[in-house]
Amino acid sequence: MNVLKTILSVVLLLGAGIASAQDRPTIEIDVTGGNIRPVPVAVPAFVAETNGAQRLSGDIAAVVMSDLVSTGLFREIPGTAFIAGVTNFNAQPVFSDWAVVNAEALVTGAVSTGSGGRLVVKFRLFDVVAQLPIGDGVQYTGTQDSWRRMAHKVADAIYSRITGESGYFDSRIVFVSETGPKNDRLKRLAVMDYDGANLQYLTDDSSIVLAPRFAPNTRDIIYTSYESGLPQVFLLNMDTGLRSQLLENTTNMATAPRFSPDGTKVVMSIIDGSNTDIYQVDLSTRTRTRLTNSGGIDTTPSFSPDGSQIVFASDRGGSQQLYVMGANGGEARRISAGGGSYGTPVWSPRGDMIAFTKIKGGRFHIGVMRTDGSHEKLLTASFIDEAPTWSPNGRVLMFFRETAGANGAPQIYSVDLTGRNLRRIDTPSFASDPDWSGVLR
Amino acid sequence: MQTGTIISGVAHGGLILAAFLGGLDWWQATLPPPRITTVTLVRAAELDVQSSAAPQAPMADIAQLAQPEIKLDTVAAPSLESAVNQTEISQTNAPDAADAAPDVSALLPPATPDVVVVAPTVDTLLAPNEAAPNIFQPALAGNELNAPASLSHPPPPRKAPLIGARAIAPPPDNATPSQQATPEVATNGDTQVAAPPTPASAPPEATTAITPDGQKTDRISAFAPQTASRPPRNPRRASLPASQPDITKAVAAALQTAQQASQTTPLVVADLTGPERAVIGGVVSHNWNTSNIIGQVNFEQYVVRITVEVSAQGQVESVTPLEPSTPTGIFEIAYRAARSAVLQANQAGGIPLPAGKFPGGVTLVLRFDPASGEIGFN
Repeated sequence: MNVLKTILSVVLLLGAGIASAQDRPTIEIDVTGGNIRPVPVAVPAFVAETNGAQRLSGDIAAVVMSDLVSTGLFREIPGTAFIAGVTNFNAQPVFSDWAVVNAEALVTGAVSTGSGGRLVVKFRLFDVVAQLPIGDGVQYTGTQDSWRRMAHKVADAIYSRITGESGYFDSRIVFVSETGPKNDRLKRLAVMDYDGANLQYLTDDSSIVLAPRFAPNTRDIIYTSYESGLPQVFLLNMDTGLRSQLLENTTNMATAPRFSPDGTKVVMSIIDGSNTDIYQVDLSTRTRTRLTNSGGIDTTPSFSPDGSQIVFASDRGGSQQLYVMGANGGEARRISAGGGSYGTPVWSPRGDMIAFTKIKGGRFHIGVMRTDGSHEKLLTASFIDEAPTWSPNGRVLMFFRETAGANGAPQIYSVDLTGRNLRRIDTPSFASDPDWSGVLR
Repeated sequence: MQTGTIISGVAHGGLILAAFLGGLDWWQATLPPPRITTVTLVRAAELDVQSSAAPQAPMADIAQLAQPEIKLDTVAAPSLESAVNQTEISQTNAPDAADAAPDVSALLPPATPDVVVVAPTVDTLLAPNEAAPNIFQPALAGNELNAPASLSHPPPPRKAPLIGARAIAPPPDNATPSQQATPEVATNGDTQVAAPPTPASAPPEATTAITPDGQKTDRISAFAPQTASRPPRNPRRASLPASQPDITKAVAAALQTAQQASQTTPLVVADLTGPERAVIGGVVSHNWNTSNIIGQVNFEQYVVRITVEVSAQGQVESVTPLEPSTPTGIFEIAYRAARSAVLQANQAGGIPLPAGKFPGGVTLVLRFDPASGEIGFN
């Protein structure tokens, strides 16, 4: 019977449409401009399907909302504005109730707990304006201890469906935590969730540490430490806590290490005598290969995501500029063309852009340009903005900003590619040199 | 023309009948429930690693670093539960409208209109609507046929002016004609000779005889301003006969002529003026959120065209992707943004079509070009 009704209705609709279209003129109009505003989204508390899930139902919804709002692409519809909540995960939402509070997207979810700490989280996403579901419902299974990660996974899926890009909420940040006065700053490595939660220290503050970088597996970290008196590169595994010096039995200073996309190699700067060049180290054999041989200082190398090219900073031309060369070295071509000096280039994980620090007119900028140096765009301006790092989806940059004066101190900030969503990442201490991991597996 | 009308009538009648018989609620009620895809998030071993304490470095002093030691007085220790709230946006755009404590009664009247949304993969008919929203009707200066009806009626006749209405007193009995002689007018060439008096006549516009429009012998179009653009020809008014007694028959004849002409001659395709296009484009653009598009790689390429069927009253009847016809990936994101812009404009009052210009509705092809709105410090 339902099939018959459906066929009848479709025929009637088609007939009406054809008849109407016969005497209707067709007019084309260009729509330009538009506006950039956050999408109002409602995330009511998830339905607690078991008694033990009552507390987590609200917490998970709060983390999902926080993740979405942090992108600058979404705006929270507060719970106090809701006309009605969601009491049945499988019921069709009453869209008029959500349209009247100006929600354009609606997330419904349910949480249940089981034996052995098992946790099940499921959600659905709806377009309130079109009154249509966006994608299918999804169910995640894990343990109650991992509820934050599961909430991040839900937010990643929602973000991906609405923006068309992969999410980045289930990721971590490694950075240099700084404490103490400016002239006697103590530094140590720390790691936290992308939103500042789950902070953990990785080293003590007995020696200065710099420039930590995640490996593609998100479990290994490479960084520079002054514990021997000279800057040397170390490897640290977060699962086991095992640590090793990358190049042993050497007195050359090494800085600015970074993994290759496949995680088998590391590129970094090595100071040999009075010359600073870029080297590549094979992690399996610990053998190093020299990639540049110029009279200038070549530093801060970064692989392209396909591993075929390396971008780095060099003052070989008189001022510090950005250059691109093949992954095995060879001729480098300058890509930065604007005034001022450039440093700390980082290739986007999408491969389309390069982020950098620019110093011009006494101010620091975080900017992006295409890989050929065109379309340079400066996203920030400050006393000191430095060391950009890309989000896993290549849409957001994190960097540190240091304030001026005797009490000036660094803090981590993020900004998206439009430059419209600058926000500070709260950390329990001063923080610098952030590096963004890939999405956790 | 008649075939289309018949098909349309049958189709709409069928829809009304279906609504009477069972309502249209069954359309939504039979929507299949969303499919649940079960995803195992993490393995047990990985969860153990994730939920464990900070990794222990091999050095003895590092092993004592399980708890973060905060040396700054002004900062707070991280909290698992409050960390999310601490990471609030420091700079965000102000919301367009306040969300708290909405006045529901004031918001409820503009009910959702009858809209068929054609999704790229799912066809869905939305709930019907009872109330028709107010349609914006822009005034068209210089178009007298679209002016209000009150302006087309002739003004009432004015009263004739009263001249010399007061009686003049008669001369006294002893009054005599004046003896003062008036000098003769010189007849030489330097002197102008007064012209003989001519009888005065009122100018034509001063007459009080008002001729009604219905008695004019000229066609109405003859009185149209020469500089103004002429409106579409109205066959009934253009064929009015001259004599008042035959006006009824003449109107009927003109109607018949017009109907025959409409069936034998091609229709004049109505179009929108530049300002009318700008108004429609502006209303849609006001609701077009490009934030999910302009951050994409080479976002300039994500131009979409959609087809919007609009009724004569400006109500959106359907939204269909036109180019690409089946949007996927980022094009699907761009299409959804365009569709949302149209539907939100519809909910806010409809598409502002000029009143009476499209009695059968109109098909709008809207082209959304996101190449705008970038900022920077360059």
